[in-house]
Amino acid sequence: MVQAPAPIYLDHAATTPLCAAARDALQACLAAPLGNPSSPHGPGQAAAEWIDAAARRLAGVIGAQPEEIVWTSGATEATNLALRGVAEFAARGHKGAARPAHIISCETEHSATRDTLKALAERGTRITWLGVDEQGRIDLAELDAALDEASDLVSLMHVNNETGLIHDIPAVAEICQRRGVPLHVDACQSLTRLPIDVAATPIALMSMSAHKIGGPPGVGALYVRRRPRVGLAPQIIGGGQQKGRRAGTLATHQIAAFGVAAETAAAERETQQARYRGLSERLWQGLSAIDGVTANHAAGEDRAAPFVNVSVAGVHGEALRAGLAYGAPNIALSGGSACSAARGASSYVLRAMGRTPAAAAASLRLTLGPEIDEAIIDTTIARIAAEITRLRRIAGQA
Amino acid sequence: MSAQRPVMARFLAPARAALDIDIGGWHGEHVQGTPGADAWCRVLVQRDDAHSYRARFLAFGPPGVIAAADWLCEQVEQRGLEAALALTAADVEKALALAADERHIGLLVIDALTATGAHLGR
Repeated sequence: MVQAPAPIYLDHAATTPLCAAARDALQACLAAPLGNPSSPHGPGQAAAEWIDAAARRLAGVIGAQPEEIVWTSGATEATNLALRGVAEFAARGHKGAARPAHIISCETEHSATRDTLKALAERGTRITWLGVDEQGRIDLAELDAALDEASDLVSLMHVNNETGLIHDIPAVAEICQRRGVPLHVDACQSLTRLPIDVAATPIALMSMSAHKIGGPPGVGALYVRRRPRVGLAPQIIGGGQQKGRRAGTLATHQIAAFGVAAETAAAERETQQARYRGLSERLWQGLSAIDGVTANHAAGEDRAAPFVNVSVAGVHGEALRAGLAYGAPNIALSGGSACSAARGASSYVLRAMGRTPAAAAASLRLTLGPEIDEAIIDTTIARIAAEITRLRRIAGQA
Repeated sequence: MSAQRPVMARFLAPARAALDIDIGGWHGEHVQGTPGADAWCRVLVQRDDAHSYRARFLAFGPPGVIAAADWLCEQVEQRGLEAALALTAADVEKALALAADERHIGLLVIDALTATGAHLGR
């Protein structure tokens, strides 16, 4: 019997496989006689020790203090807590008279931010949306001009989840600090991929996810700076856990695995990112040799190393992605983010960057992970080229 | 989307795609597109004798369009043109287990074959 070729997984921006160290931590917690971490007895305190250790690990990766970590069910909840929490706190009148909040963000943010801000806008929050250039960059002067006395928050992602574009967070943070406006950073795609130091960079709030860095799904965190502290109304109440910032019994095993995954990935960051830089450049060079393939990712050092995003002319995007996903070898990748793929819509990120709807629809996002090597990259290039040729022949174009 | 669906099997290996043939010599052909130009289908039919036909297609679109065009060409060859022309979009939908948001695909390929049939022999 002929064995099917091994599938190729190039969707690490959507989720990463659980790393060995995180799996060990997860299993150790599940096997241990742990209690509720809020309980004062021995089994409860044993669980609390795992959580404290995870907070030290994650805080250590970003230059924070352990007590500045608020555990959540994921980055989407962390972002909801940041945006809704600030808007609600402002609307209560803690910064003068009660008034609608003002939040500044960007058109190419993840839908966790976009949809939350749209929902807040429907309830009166004033939202200023910053546009981007063809590479996906914001204009810092436009950001500066958008800030006013009543601004409550700037929310910006560190690395774009579709194109890998790196926003200049230190420069953004400097502007926000000078204008006295807190900054929320969505660090889902940058945590352990880029250096982040909240001790050196005045970030007020930062969303993080475990399953993007080798941790388990279902757990994330919000970094909440202690001083100066941003006003944040809790969004989940009923129990007072985490000093009232987010109620609910903590998932000890997931949190422990998140901490270990963060520490492990951070320790490997420089080596892995340099490797990804070489591999993604090899991938792009191979794909760019195919007729009709153009780059959507940013050039050079403005792009996070694991990302390649291309549009392909003369093929239907859904057909191309299906052909790659179900032909042999299977290639798991995405068009746009996994979240927008779930809605079946073409990428609003690419359209905001000026791409046509057709180009945005016929896009491929490929993101690298630890198991990817040069042989897999070369197989991927050949497989994509063959699938493009097949579809163009069916359309009578080749 | 599942690899087990009838759509995916045909999409990955369409037996009646018009690859490497000279379409100029075919008796009937018509291009049918969707209003948004997101997909199109071109059906070609050749009469070999009074009761025998060959059918091929070219298509651009999601997997369902390619699969549906392939299935319809197969029906022309197996049932004959007249019987195939009596098929409806619902028949395509049922044969390929199309999802609710793929129903337009049945109309696209049926319209393409209907127009091709009208052109045949002119």
